[in-house]
Amino acid sequence: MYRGIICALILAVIAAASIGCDKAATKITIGYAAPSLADEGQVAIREGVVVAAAKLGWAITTTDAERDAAKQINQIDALIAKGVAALVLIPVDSAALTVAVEQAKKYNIPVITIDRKTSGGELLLTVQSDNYLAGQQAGERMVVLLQGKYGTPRGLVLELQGALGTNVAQLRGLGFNDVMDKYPEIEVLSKPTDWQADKGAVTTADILTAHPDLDGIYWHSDAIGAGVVPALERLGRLPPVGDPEHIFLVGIDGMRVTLNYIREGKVDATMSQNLLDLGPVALDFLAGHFQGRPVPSSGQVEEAGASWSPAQVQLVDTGPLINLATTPVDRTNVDDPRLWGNAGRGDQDQ
Amino acid sequence: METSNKAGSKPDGQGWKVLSRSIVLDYSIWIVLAVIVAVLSLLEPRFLSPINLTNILLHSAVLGVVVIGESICLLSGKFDLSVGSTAGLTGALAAWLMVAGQPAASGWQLDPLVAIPLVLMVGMAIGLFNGFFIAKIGMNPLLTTLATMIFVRGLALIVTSGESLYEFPAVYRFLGSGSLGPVPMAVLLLLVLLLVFHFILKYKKIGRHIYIVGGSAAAARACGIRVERVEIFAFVMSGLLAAVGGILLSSRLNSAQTASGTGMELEVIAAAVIGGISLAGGRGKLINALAGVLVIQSIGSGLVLLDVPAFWIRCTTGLIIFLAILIDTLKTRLRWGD
Repeated sequence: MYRGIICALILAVIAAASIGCDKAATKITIGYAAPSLADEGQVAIREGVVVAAAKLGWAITTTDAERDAAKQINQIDALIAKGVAALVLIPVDSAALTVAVEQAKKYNIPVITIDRKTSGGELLLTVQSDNYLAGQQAGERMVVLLQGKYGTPRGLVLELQGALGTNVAQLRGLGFNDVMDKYPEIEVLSKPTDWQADKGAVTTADILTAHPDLDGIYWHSDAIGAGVVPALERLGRLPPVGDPEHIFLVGIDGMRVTLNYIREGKVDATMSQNLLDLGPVALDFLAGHFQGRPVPSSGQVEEAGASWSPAQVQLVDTGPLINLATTPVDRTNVDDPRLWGNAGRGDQDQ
Repeated sequence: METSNKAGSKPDGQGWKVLSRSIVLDYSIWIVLAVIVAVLSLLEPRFLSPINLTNILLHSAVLGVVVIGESICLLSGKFDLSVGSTAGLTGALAAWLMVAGQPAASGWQLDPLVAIPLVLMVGMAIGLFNGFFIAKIGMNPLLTTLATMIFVRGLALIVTSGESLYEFPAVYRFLGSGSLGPVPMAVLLLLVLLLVFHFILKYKKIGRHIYIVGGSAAAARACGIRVERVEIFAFVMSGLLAAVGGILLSSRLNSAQTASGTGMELEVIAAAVIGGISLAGGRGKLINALAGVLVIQSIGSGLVLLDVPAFWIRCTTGLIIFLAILIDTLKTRLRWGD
């Protein structure tokens, strides 16, 4: 008797969960395999993908791998079994997800990765932020700030690096240092933080003890900067932007917290990734692919008025890779609604 | 064993009725599985497609192998939280020993036939460590294996230096992603291991002792059973099978990550409990634990096929697992003829 009731309950739960999921057979359905939906960057990227799919009139099934590579592969297997027309994913792990890309290939399902590529397999396209450009922009901004202080570009700058083994940290470091190398009077101290806010805070405090005359700090990610700003405040080393004692703070990512610091005059600038545009650009090329248009494999992609334009295209081992430009953000443009760090902000204020 | 006792203790006329009822109750998880499969395939016919059924079996293989070990541990009345970390470490270690041309690897390029026995021994050593301190010294199983779970995950971090190791030799890849005819190799391995351990639990002395010790360690001791040895055996098997799971997982992913197998211990315990393996020890059947694994994987795949919004999937999964465990609990009451 109990069993009957509970079977009915299970049935009800499954039925209830599937309500509202219309299955229009004529629609194109694509699968979006997110690595996680539990951080603001991932939510912004997903938002971009969902909005773009709606504009194209496509249905979309989203899965959440909860940062587990095996789970993401299982979910992609299920999406393939479901018969999706294409797969869009952000690999939890570049090496492991190669297996899923190869599986999709067996069923002739085109695969696009966002934010990073897989280490192997054949991808229709990878769309990511131009991390080298972001590092370069940060470097150029730092030069301008130092020049403003001393009349000539010189001084001591701390570089807080991401996880050294990652491609993203390497490019963000290279872009920055290629600019710095042009100015022999600027000295750069580079310290690893593994993307951790607390390591950023500790390193900053240590460096300030050894070098109280530090002029600027550049962090590879605003996630690191989120630890640096409170550390400077605690040490009494955070006079506002414009004060002669202010240590120049420049970062990458454009996280919500950093945009707020810029508004409050604590941080000078951040190079915002155009996360909201990753999905739309990816899906535009996918729509073109469905109509038989090939994806470019070199040169530039441009779109008038778009903050990610121009984007550099290169051919890598997995296929074409499009690097969307990053947008330097300071006090003058911090309220631009196109910045992902401002997404949803209007709703909250009301 | 339990079944016949209870049937025998009832008044004569009702014997058969109670016996058949007991059999249905003993295997009720398969009915639950059948209901879930029926509902999912009614809502989405593609659930029953060969590709999806193969997926579910393949996805069940890694979890299933580890569940066998955990079940043995639970049956002996203990608990092993370290299986997910052990699986992660063995995958990482195998990769470190075998992989060529990556700075984070050892560079020894060991043959899989050497590397596999080595990492299996590492798994058994972790189990032996747990078993010794829990059975002989009397440390709390939950806290001890929590500590080893953290420690072993740390070892995996040291081995991989936080990076992914990938591209395994073909022999190693075959275990997790190859197939014999239409049957994936990993599924075949799961079935073989299931049969072997079913046989051990049912017909070997050590197997029967596991049930007795799990039922009551004091009673077992009074009967002259060497309780500590039985418990250590259970932990060593748990470590060994977690290592097999780690090999299958890394083989399927063709790579090993520091975080591989994180959280697996909870899925494993959920599957075992859904399958009716008692957390109190001494009661449950391996075959039913397999059904528990299939329930979890069917739900996982079904919810994707049904387009359940990603934000809801975790809630739905939790709710369904909760209901499955509720059935198991109520079933125990039904057994006594409520």
